[in-house]
Amino acid sequence: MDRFKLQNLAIRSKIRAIILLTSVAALLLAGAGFVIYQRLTLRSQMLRDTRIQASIIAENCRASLTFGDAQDANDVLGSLKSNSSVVLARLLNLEEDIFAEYTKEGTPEDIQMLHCRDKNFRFQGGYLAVSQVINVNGRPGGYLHMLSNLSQLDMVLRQNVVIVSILILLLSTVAYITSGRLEKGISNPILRLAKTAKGIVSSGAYAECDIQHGNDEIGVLIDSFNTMISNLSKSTTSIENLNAEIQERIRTEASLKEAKEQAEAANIAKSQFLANMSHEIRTPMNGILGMVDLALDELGEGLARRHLKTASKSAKTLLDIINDILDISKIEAGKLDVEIIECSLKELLSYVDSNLSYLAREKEIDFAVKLQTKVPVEIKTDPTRLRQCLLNLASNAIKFTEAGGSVTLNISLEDVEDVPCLRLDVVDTGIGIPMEKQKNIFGTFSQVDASTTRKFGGTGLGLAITKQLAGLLGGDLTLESQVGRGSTFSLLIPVNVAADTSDMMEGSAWKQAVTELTLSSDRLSGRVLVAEDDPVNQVTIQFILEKFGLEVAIVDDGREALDKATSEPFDLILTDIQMPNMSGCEATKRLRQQNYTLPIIALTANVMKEDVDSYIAVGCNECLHKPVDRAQLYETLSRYLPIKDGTEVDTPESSPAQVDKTPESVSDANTSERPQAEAPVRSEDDMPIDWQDLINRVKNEALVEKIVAVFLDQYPAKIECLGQVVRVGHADDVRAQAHGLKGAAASMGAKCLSQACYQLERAGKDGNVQVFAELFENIQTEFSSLTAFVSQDNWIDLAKQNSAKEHVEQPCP
Amino acid sequence: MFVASLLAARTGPLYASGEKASEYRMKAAYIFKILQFVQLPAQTGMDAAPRKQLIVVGVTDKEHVKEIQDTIGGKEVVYGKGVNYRIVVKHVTFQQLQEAKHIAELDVLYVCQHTVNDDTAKLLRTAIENEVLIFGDTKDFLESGGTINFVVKKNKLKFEINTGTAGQAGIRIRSQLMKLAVKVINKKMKLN
Repeated sequence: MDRFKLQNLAIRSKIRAIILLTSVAALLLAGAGFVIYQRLTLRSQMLRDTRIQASIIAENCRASLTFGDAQDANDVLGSLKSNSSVVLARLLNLEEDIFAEYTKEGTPEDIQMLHCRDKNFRFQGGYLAVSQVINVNGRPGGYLHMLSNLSQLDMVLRQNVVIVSILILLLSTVAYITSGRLEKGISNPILRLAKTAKGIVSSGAYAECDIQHGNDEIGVLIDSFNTMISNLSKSTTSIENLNAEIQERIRTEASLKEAKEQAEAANIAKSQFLANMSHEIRTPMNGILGMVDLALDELGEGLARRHLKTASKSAKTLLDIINDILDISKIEAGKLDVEIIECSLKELLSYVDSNLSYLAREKEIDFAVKLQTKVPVEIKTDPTRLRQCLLNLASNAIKFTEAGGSVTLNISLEDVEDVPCLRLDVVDTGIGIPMEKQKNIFGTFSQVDASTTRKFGGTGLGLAITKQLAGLLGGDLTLESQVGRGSTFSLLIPVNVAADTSDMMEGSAWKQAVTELTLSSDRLSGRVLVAEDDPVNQVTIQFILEKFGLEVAIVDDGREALDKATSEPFDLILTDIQMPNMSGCEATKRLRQQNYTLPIIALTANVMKEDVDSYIAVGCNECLHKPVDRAQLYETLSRYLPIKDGTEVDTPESSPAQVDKTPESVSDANTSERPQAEAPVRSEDDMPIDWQDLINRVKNEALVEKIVAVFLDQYPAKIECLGQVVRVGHADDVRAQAHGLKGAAASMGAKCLSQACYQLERAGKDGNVQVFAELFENIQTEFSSLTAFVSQDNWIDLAKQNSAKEHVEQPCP
Repeated sequence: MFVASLLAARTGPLYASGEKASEYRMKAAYIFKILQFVQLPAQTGMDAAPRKQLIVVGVTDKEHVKEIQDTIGGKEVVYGKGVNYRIVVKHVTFQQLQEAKHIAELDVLYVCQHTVNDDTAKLLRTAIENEVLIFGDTKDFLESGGTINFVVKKNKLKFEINTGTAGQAGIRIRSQLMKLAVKVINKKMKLN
């Protein structure tokens, strides 16, 4: 059926069909119009004739009607016989009685006269009725009605229809024959054109159409087609060339992409390598620094000492740079995780204040921390990273501010898109940053210019790290600066607490942290099981816990802890991780397997994130790091154990300095993943014991003395034992024993000894047997130095004095 | 002979005495109808400017003047759109008709049969000369110079026409009327 649709017909058939249909339609319309017109005309003519005849008859009947001569009237009507159409005629008097009548022969008797007085004529049912009024002396005197048959008229019409139909047929035939001849003039060129196009499609060869044609539209079409073919031919050549070019480009792009991916992979690998190698990079640096400092201790004044001092200073600077590079590498490698926890803004600000006040004072710069609005006392963020950000920004500000200038940390609370955020503006009156440099200032390795680097030093990584950290904390870091007038770095971070329900502080309330804690008289109640193999640590922890008001039971290893915990009731377990017989992890795991539900808190020097995660995974509720910080311990225990009022006030004190000395925050805020052993290295004026650290943690001189006594009693033997395993060269034993010594040394504030032990522990872990003897010598040296120091009667006073002089410690490997 | 015949006709009346009244009324009505099919000289050029608006009918019989007057007096004959002629009936004697002024004011003269006398023929010639349409109801009236004569055929009132006298008087009679006449002759009178 589809092929009979007009659009599917051949162009020839289409043209002929169009011509034929149009002609026939026109002829039909014309024929119909003619027939209709003729019908109207014939009727009109018949009406006119009938009316004339009626008028004549009426006039001829007037006298008859006037004188009542019906015979005469009948005679007059009889004259209608000559008109074969008239079938009935009636003459009526004024009363409409029939006065005279004529009926054509053969007319049915029941024929009815049509009434048409209203308009004097009527066509109905094949008849025409005409009515004529007969006036007598100027008034109607009667009526003449005539009825004519239309059959003759209809016959004429039928004849006409037949004639018209024959004419239409004849003309259509002529149109068909003519269209067949004429359409070739149109269809032939088109068919040729279509054939040429089809040939091009099938063969792919661009052949032009060689038809003779005129200047009509078809001629234009053929010309355009030929031009198009010509252009297409040229275009195809161009496209082929272009395609080849594109293919070449694609290959180039692919190789570029590959090169880019390789470069990115190399960059990621570099970052990952650096992140993974952080310990490996720091450890030798710590070694260098340690050795240089030892050498400084042993050297008297002279050129060699000055050289060594320069070397020490350079090494510390290098360590700072390495730390920065490692940080940015971690960020780039995606290995830097943030831990959003509830933390004290008070403590954070106190820490920043205490750390930077010293630096500012040194440079004769005013430094102040100001609360511009009420801010929450507690916020939820990663305190370590936030502290690092603030230290970076503020120390930068101090670095780039000349003496006599000022650096202010303005803190305010504001809503950013309905999220309460803390705005920390570090405002300085320093050299400022030119507008064109501001956009690059947060890029890695970016400083204002080379002269800045020369004058102020630094890697240019601090702001990049801070910006990245701000992003990780869910906030942002922005800058406003004018050259010569100073800069404002604005750190905006979400507080993650509801401002309307949190405790708020304002003014200088942040400084009251120490007082508040000191005045606290809360004590804890409960029974605590401590698993710790190191005697110094045992003494320390026991002392501290008892001071908290807790009942303490001490065991030496995990196995004992397991037995004790399952046989006696305790409210909480504190466990070291690395212990002989059974590790803290194993003990915890088994306890949890036995559905032990009470809190277990790990206490360890290994606080790398993956280590902490593994402790949590086996069932520890939390992890505290060694050496034990009293305030932190209290804070942690108070969350698990009931608080009771007590008269004996010995809750932990906290101060900015003390927070400063926690291993997590030593040196800079990025050290939470560094082993504790990377503790401050003794400078030439350093003491074997960091008194401030020690007293801040244990808070009690009696305990200090007790710890030192235990240390002096127990540790010569342990050192001796360590020496034996070093000589044997058994790496695992060396590592385990060095680890134990490291923790004990850290607990009593002997950071340099602790660090020396850590270096040996690392060497043991790495199986680096060659350096055992050397590192053990360091330990011996440190131990001797420590022993000599604490053997003095007034060692505590000396330590205190020394501590007073040192407000801020130098960063230590 | 004419007079004798007229008189003879007068002796054989058509109707009984009681019916005379209705006979004259019918004849008056015929005069009115016939006037619709004739054109009097007085109405020549009537469409343009008719000379008169009256048709004066003189009746010689004083006895029946009133009946005729009652039947057609005051009626109007319509000759065309807005051209109406009112009929006035009056009695005229033969003596009056001798005078030119009396005959001249008449348009129609009805000579009733019992008023016919010896002078009638003369009178009719005068009337023709004065373009008067002359009705009568006497035997051989047309031959005496009358124009239209009433006769009774099969107990029906009919009329005869003399187109000769009509033409002499300048009167045109329509063919339809002549078709209805029982007799039409064309006899002209010898005028003075």
